[in-house]
Amino acid sequence: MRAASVLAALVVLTLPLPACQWPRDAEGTLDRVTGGTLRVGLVEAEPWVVLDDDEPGGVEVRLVEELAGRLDTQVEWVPGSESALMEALHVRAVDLVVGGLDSSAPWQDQAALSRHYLTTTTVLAVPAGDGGTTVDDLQGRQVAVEGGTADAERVRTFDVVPVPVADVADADGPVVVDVWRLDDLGLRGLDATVSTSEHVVAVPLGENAWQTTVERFLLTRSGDELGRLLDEEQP
Amino acid sequence: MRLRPDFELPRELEAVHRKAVRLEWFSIVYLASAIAVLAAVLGSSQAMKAAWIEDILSLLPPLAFLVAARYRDRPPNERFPYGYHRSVGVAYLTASAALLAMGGFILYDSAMVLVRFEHPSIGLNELFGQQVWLGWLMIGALLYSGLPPVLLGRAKQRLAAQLHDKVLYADAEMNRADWATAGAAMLGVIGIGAGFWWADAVAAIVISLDIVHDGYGNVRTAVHDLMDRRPTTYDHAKPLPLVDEVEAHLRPLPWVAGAEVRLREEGHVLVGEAYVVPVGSPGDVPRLVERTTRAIEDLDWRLHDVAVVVLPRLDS
Repeated sequence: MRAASVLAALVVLTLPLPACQWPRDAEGTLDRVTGGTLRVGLVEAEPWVVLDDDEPGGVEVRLVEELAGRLDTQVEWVPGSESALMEALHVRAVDLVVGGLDSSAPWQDQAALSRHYLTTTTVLAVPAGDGGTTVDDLQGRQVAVEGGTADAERVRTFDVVPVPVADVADADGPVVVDVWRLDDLGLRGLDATVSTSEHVVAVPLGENAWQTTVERFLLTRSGDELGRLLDEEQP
Repeated sequence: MRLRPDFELPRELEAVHRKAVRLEWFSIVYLASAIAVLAAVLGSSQAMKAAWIEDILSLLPPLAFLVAARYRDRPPNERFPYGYHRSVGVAYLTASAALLAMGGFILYDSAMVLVRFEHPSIGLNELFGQQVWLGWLMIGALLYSGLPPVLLGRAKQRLAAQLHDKVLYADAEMNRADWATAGAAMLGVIGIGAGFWWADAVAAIVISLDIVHDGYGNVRTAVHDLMDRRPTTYDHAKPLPLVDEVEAHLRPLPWVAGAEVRLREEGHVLVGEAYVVPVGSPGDVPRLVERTTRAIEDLDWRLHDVAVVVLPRLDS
């Protein structure tokens, strides 16, 4: 009896679905955006979203532009604070929010965070010429780290003395730096991860077709492409 | 102080009981794996959460059974002269109350999702370098968590009947209904995929109603058992005929003029009193009482420590 009704409900639910789109949106965002306008919330967060000039830049802005090109969509940029944009996402005033969002961001009730498309880590690093230096050698020594970041405190777990600086590129000696900047700065990373960040973007809740479209686009970006975009953003 | 005599299961039932213990251990291992698999694909689906919590709760009856299995053998002692049979009832009540409370919580939580128009999302996941819609993985996980318990439940129900074990029976019932929970959760997941945002919360409400129903039924039974209601069959379907059988055994005895019996359940065993009015000159009453007491216990393995009380007449 119960088995029959569950099966019947399953059939009724799935029958009217066209085979073309699965999963589907609750409010049809993908259909509206395709060939239409995409409203993108921007939270300033270098190097992901840069709002210095008239035109926004940054890795995630470039990615959104590429996605929009594929969907034949006009992009409308909406700069704002993270809180304001998440609320806008919740009421569907924007279709996408980018800006260095991390998978541990506390927005689960307001927005759907995508699957992370990139994981970045910061490490303890020394100048490449600094032969056999190990993590143990750095104990008690001063390490340059970008001031006002969580890393500036976290790095203390390695028994080093953090020295806050504006940009670690200008520092001599050991630093805490993103792995992707190592080569450009002529640094050698040590086996000492300070922090890890899983990068995500946010879409409205319940828009499954739109979300999976964005996710599939981001997840199929090659490491080279993301690396190139990051390099373009080097200060 | 006089302690109650030790109780032992008949030899053939000892083997059945060991089988039940093995089955419950297996259940716990399997459930732990199902809980882990569901947790890995939980996502933001309310129905998935409900199914997951139900799986966690279905750990309680096997745990109650195993705890009881450990204590059941303990002989009565100075502190617990009646032995440890009641521990089964306490474990059972605790587990049922947890079930009821959790069902109520999920019901409230899911109803609020509907009220607040919250839209659940299911996105992509990566499996062996391929992008897969997480919903398909959820459905796979639900199949794993929903189908094996049906077989487990059937096996447990057979053993519960042989052992007259109500905790085992409650466990078997929960397992047998598990496929319905998994099915409802699948509908919720498919509903999300189809863009029906409400389907998920509705499925979760259906599941929580089922948990509340289970919890209520079990709390009721557990409380009734602790209140010494008339013994029933293991499935609570009808009164146990043993009271009548003991009376039918006593009344034709040559030294008995009248007899009335009152029994209650303590876990596996039935204990109570047999009130007997002797005939005019019965003979050696103490010896007759002793022999009759033993004869009652030989009627059924579950009859244990039934006191024969000799009275001048039966009131009422």
